[in-house]
Amino acid sequence: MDAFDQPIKTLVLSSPLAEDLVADPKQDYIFDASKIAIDAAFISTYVSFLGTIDSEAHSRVLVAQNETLSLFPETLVVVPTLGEAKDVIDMERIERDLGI
Amino acid sequence: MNTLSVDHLLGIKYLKEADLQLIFETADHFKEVINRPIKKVPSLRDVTIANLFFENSTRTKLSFELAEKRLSADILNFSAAQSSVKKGETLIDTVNNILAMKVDMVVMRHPNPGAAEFLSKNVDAIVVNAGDGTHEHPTQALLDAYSIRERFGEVAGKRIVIVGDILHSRVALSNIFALNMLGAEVKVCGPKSLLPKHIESLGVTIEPDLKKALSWCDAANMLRVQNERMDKSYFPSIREYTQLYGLTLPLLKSLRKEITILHPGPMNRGVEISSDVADSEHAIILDQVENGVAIRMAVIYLLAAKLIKPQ
Repeated sequence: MDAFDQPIKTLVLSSPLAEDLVADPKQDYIFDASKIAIDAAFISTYVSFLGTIDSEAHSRVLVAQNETLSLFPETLVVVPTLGEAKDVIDMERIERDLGI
Repeated sequence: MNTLSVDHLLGIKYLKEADLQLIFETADHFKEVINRPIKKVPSLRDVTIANLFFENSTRTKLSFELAEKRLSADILNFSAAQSSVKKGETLIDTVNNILAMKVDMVVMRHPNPGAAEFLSKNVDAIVVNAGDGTHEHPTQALLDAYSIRERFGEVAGKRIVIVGDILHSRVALSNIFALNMLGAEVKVCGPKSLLPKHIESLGVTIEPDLKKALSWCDAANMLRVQNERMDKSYFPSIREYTQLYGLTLPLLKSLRKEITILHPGPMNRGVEISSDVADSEHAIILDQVENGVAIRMAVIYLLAAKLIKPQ
């Protein structure tokens, strides 16, 4: 299946973030944290979780409330809406296809 | 100057040097955006762009689409294979149907030379030429010149050779216009059958010997052999072409200087360029791909700025 045809999986996150959270490293993911409170513990657990599904060939985008975006390290891709998350994944898929 | 002198991007020959410099400076800014974790700016929110590709071109189409997405434009993709064009609809009918959807800008690739200019005179939208037959491919020339500028600091005074199928290449023509405008010295090199008559009238010189051409230049742009555009055989065999005009690592190493290699893509590895050259530190082919997105963002942004009419 072409990378552009693969469905984007959305995983709704809860707080506190489950430490045994699992995801398929071979999928592009939107992690939806838009309905929960964000704190340092959540961010730390989320970063550790991303380490378990590390892949340069796939996208991971977190959706969080606009006012919490500044809490995240700049290396994480965090956007305020599901629509923007999908746009980011579309862009990253094109970048990978172009070899950028 | 902070606006382009043109309302459409139809070809390099319609631009002024100041336009090219403005596009490069704007692309510099967008390259910074590209290096951020969130590579998106809201500049073109509420602007709708239609990508009309009447000819296949995955890479150029993706590069435009990525540029448009990074500028937050709304995008409408159209390819001739899925359209009424196959049922006899004219170009104007097709485009007017699309414009009825309130499209602000049209990015078009078309097999006929002059199609973009024709369109610009007949529809009420900004037109960007993404390649019209063997005529021009302005954004490719802009990104090539921009990549040379990035490598050397400036284009003026640099010696550039364009190698290969000049006759069928819109990239070659647009490159010649852009490089001359920016003050570079340009040579073309290729089989006589693939060099247009009177090419010197465009301000270039001919060097039929590849090694001499490479020894002279600072950068070489290796064009793709376009078999799909050849209605007859222009050279005896691919093997002979490769022997005479293919760039290999031993040839590169035999030069007494370092030169920079460009290729507009997609490459015929083992024909006009060997894999070890394409993947070497001499080649800036991947930089060209990245710069292509920044240049297209700059062009689209600068043209779209003209949609905002002064009160």
